[in-house]
Amino acid sequence: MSDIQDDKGARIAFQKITETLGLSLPADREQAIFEGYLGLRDMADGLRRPRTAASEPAGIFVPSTIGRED
Amino acid sequence: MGGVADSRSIAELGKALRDGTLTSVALTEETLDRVAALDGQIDSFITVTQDRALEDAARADRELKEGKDFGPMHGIPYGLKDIYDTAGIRTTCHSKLRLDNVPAADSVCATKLKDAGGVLIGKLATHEFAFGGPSFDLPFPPARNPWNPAHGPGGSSSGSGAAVAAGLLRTAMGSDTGGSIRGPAAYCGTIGIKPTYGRVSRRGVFPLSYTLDHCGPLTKTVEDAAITMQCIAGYDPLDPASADVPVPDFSAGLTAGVKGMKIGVLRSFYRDAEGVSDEAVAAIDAATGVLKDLGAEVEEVAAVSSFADYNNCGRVILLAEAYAIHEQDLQTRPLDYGRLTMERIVLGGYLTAADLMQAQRQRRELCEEVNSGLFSRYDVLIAASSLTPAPLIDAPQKSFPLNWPMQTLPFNVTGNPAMSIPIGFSRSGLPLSMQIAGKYFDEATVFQVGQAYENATEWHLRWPDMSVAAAASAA
Repeated sequence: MSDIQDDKGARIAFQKITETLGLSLPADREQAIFEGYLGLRDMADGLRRPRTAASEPAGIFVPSTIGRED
Repeated sequence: MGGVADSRSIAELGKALRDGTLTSVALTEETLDRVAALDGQIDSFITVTQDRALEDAARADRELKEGKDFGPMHGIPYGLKDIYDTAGIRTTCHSKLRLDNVPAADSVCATKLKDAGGVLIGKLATHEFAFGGPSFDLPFPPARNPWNPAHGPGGSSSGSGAAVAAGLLRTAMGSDTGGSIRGPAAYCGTIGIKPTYGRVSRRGVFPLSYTLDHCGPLTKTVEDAAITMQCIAGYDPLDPASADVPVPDFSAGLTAGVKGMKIGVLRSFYRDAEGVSDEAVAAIDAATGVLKDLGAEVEEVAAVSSFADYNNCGRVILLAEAYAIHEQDLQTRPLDYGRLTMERIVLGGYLTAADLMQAQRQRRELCEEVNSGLFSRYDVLIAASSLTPAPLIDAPQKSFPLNWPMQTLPFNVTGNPAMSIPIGFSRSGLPLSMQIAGKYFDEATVFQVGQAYENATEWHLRWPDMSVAAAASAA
């Protein structure tokens, strides 16, 4: 996410995505949504880490597969 | 009209209905009178279904008289969060977008409660679309906390928590995507159980997040929760997430106690969390002490993933799925949403496909950790339901309160059953609570532990004095 390494880059990325999504954000709500976007990016980036085949999401809700070996 | 509720449980009311000392019509009329007299203080109802309630009650009396007994819910009043479809009765999701929505068919839970002889009193307030609130820019006012109406009741099943805590209903259905049953239960001092994912059909309930949504009841006591769960649990082939597993008798083990049980406490999740109240931590410590005194082996759980791992994973999945559901309306009529709802749900659009897949991969690992790991060592887990007592209802809210960890979210991520139970009161007179989480499809053990705690304590015997609430509201 090199676009959001600084506030200006983040603002540009945010506006690009907003346009792509076809959204018209009310002016009085845009700042709050932008701040939420920054926080969400932090959360999503926190999910990126090395994982094994055992983390494949398939079958996640079938109890009998929960404990399978990778 | 007294300010203090009738304290009888569903089982006690059922006994009175069957020995002829009470009729469902009389119980329903008393309930409707109480709603009319008191709900103006807490705004827990959106729609009161008076005619339907009296018809249901008359039918229940007739059936019981004829010897047709449909079980413990027969003749008992209940309410539904206003995201549960009800045939011929508007279902608004507390939103301008669905003000005129009158479903043609009942949700599965509404059908099951009706078939069990329950009496529908009405549809209950919610945070808009089970997500945004408490808000003052919606078509209906937000529900308030019966213990002090200046405080919120939690959400999103806000009306369900408030109505049960106030004694307007013995049981009310809520929904739980990140804690929307257990949160209001915690703030209002009621029981609130999120069953195992797949245990209760979600068909006919407006979705927030497909893989995190659960349906379950809020009640005054553990036994009332077990009774309600017995009515609504079961396989539904038309709910893609429904599990075809046997439904046990949830009440059978209620008196079995906790002697010899192994209980793990997820203290690291809440002990040092930002904003946690000392009172909340002390109350959980005291409650686990009670379980230990009752014969359970209680120990702090070590070496689990951080709370942030669960939180990040759950929030990314929730927002991505919620955005997919609301995408078209957000593009075409964003201003018809309340401000908080719109500002929260729209964020899901800014996630990438890779973000969602990373969250799904993490979810898999967290499910492993809890189920192959923790639940191979413990019968149940204890955690906080909330970090503080209920905040003021008009306290400023961030649109996306990242710094406010939802202690309930981990068990939505993993799908395990989890129940909030009251464990005391703050110095300000507001309820404190904890969660009891169990193995997949083992709600019965969660109820067993909850009942043992309830039997040993008296928190569930307290009711808010609604005449005091009225005075506070007027001031």
